[in-house]
Amino acid sequence: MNEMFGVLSLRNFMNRPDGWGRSEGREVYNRLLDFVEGNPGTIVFKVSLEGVRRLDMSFASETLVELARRYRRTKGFCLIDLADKDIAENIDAAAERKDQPLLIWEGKSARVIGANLSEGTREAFQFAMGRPECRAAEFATQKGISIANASMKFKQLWNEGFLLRRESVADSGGVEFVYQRIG
Amino acid sequence: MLVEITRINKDVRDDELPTRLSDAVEKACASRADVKELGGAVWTIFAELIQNIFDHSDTQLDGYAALQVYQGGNKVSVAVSDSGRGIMDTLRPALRTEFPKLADLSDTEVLVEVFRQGVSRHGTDRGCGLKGCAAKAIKFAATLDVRLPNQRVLLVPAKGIYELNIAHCYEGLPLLWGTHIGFAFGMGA
Repeated sequence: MNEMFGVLSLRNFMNRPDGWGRSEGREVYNRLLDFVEGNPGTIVFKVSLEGVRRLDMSFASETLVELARRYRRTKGFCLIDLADKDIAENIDAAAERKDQPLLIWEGKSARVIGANLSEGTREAFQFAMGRPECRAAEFATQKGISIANASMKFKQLWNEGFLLRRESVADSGGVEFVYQRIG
Repeated sequence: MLVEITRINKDVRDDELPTRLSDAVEKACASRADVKELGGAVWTIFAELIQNIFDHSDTQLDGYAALQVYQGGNKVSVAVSDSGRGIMDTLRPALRTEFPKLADLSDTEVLVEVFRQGVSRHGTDRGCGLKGCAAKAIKFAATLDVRLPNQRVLLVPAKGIYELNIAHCYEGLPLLWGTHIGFAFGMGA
């Protein structure tokens, strides 16, 4: 597994192709948790939905959404191989309830489910999604806004679970944050 | 016409039940262009409502899931019923602490909010199940029928949502304990 990115196949953690109900979800959640804890170097988990036939909102809430919420700001979880509209809708409903954003990747494009971007952070998010990682100063330069203003937007996106970040050393020698898209 | 009625034994969950019922709908409505979406909606509704029997009904009595597909596949009714604690009986005590704004509303008003915003006795990050069921059913212009101990509330969707001002209430009905929820999908001729 790549140090930073890993693929997690949800079906491998399920007893059968359908995910139904909270109690079944909690069982699967514990298995997912063991897997994540067993891969401490992995920062972004691409969760593949391949082979999952059905999945209700309660199951999604106890598994994918709970996992993303638990690790918010430290690890990221995004969804891949998710062509089924019904499953996407159910994950969206569960994520919305917990105000937890999740990205669904289709090829090179992604869409957010589960939470809405505020008007003030939308452009910063789109900027971050256009590259694997970025600094607030880069966005500030492009938009002609202050670095403090840009930093505030990125911090909010990180805080709300839309982005990840890591510390880096700035040219000035101080600490700056490098923001990373999830996926 | 297709009719399926299945007993739900609280001691043994039949893991394939929602799939069997939704497969039956897909088979009976195979000629519809939106059959996959319909099947997904029916599966989710059965999954959430049946699981609620296991999680909330608090009775050893069997529950029932029923499905009816009318001739031509233009109307589908799904219902799940149990004889345990009613939906208001489980929700009411938690409203004051978890959803204080709803605490003084009537049963009908609370019911509308259960399906519109999602309400759970376990707190604000739960309750997505019934809300999600309603969202799926509304796409098929489904009416929602909830039987309370002495009352029936029939919700008709308008502008993509269930609203209080188009809730039909029938009071003074014969006593019937438990939770009884039905969706009737009217899918055009």
